[in-house]
Amino acid sequence: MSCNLTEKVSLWIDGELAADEAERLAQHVAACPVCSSARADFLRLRRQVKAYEFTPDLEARQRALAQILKPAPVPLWRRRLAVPVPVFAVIVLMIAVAVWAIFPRLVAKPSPAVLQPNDPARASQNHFDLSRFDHGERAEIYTAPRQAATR
Amino acid sequence: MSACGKTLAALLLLLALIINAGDGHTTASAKADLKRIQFQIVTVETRGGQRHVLSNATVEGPPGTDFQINLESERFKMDARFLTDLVNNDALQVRAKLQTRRLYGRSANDLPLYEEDAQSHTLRLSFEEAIILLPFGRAGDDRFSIEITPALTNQPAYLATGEVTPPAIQIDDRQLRGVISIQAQAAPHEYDAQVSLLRDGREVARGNARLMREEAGEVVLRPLDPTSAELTDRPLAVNLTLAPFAQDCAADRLKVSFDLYRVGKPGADQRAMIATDWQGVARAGADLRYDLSNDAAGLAAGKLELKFNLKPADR
Repeated sequence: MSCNLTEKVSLWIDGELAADEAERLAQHVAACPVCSSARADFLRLRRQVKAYEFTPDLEARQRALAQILKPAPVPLWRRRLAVPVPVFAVIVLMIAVAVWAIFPRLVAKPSPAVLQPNDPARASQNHFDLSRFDHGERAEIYTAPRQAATR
Repeated sequence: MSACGKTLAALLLLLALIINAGDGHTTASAKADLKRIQFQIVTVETRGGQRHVLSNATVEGPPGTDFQINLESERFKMDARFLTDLVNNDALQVRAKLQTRRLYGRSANDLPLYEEDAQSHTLRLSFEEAIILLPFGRAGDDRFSIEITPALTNQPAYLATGEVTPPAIQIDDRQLRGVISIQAQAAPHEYDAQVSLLRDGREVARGNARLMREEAGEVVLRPLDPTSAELTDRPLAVNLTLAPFAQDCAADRLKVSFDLYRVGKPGADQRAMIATDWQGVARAGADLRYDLSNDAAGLAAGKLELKFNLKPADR
């Protein structure tokens, strides 16, 4: 069984209906067993709620308090550091030393090719080694009498 | 004409025929008398006054045979080219072109650094002389030399059919295997070059010259119509160099390199360059053409072409 005026019963109990409407609903509730039962349920629930004894939970209260008092999050780039002066001085000194050591390398021009002597070990072992004749001189060509050439 | 006159004319004709036949015989006889030339190529190590032969090779071919000696080791490379010409049957003119490349060291990035050298020499020697090539110069007690000794052989340079005999190489390089190599070829050294300027396909100027292979020569193009002022006052000229196209290509292929310019007015030694270091490949006897329409500034309008015709010179 149901009645479409049951919802208004709650409003009537809460005193939220106009006087004339409250009067009509009172007459209806008197005649309607569903609404009458609903009114009885609502009144019982109200009594129970009023009779409930509130016991505060201290831990929950502290958590809630901490949550409320927690500062708003600050972006990393807006955070501030507080460093003792001696630590700050050491950090500045270390940065200065690093710049002094690295900067000349960054601005230095590429060094010219460094000639490295040929490594004899590079010479092929498979071929006749001509390097022992090479003293860095220019090639030369000339004519000579045949006898001198074959000497 | 009287009988006496006819007889005289017949005698003159007969005499001319005899002289012509004699000339032909002389030319053929001169060719038949030409002998092959042999070049003995010996590489020698001289240490403490002691000679030690490292390799021995012979290149033999008709007069005009060219040869190339290559040395290649880990640090050193040499290309020595010898263009030979027989002079008066008793001497040789040898144009030697030496190119060396020496590994000088390595860079900080371990890249190889080379020292390169190019030399050209013209040597004249009799058959009693030899060419001494010192690839590494004279320094040091341990010296490496290449001795090239020419000799006339008894072998004919031309076959009975008139064909030239091919060059031949024999080499004993047991100690220098992989280090020395020798190549030889017989190709013309002199060319008759004819260079023409064509306007709309018609020849308007021409120049001729006999050029030695691998030596630059100037060919001035004279106008065929002497009244043509634009080509008479400042004629076109070509500085032309001919070279073998590639060692392994047909001998009749030539690499043509040239500069084209207008010769300065008399008294003024200024050239007006039109083209610099243009190159092409020509076949002996065939035409090689270049379109100058966009380049020959200052010449009258029309399709301008430069035509080369190169033929081996008759010797």
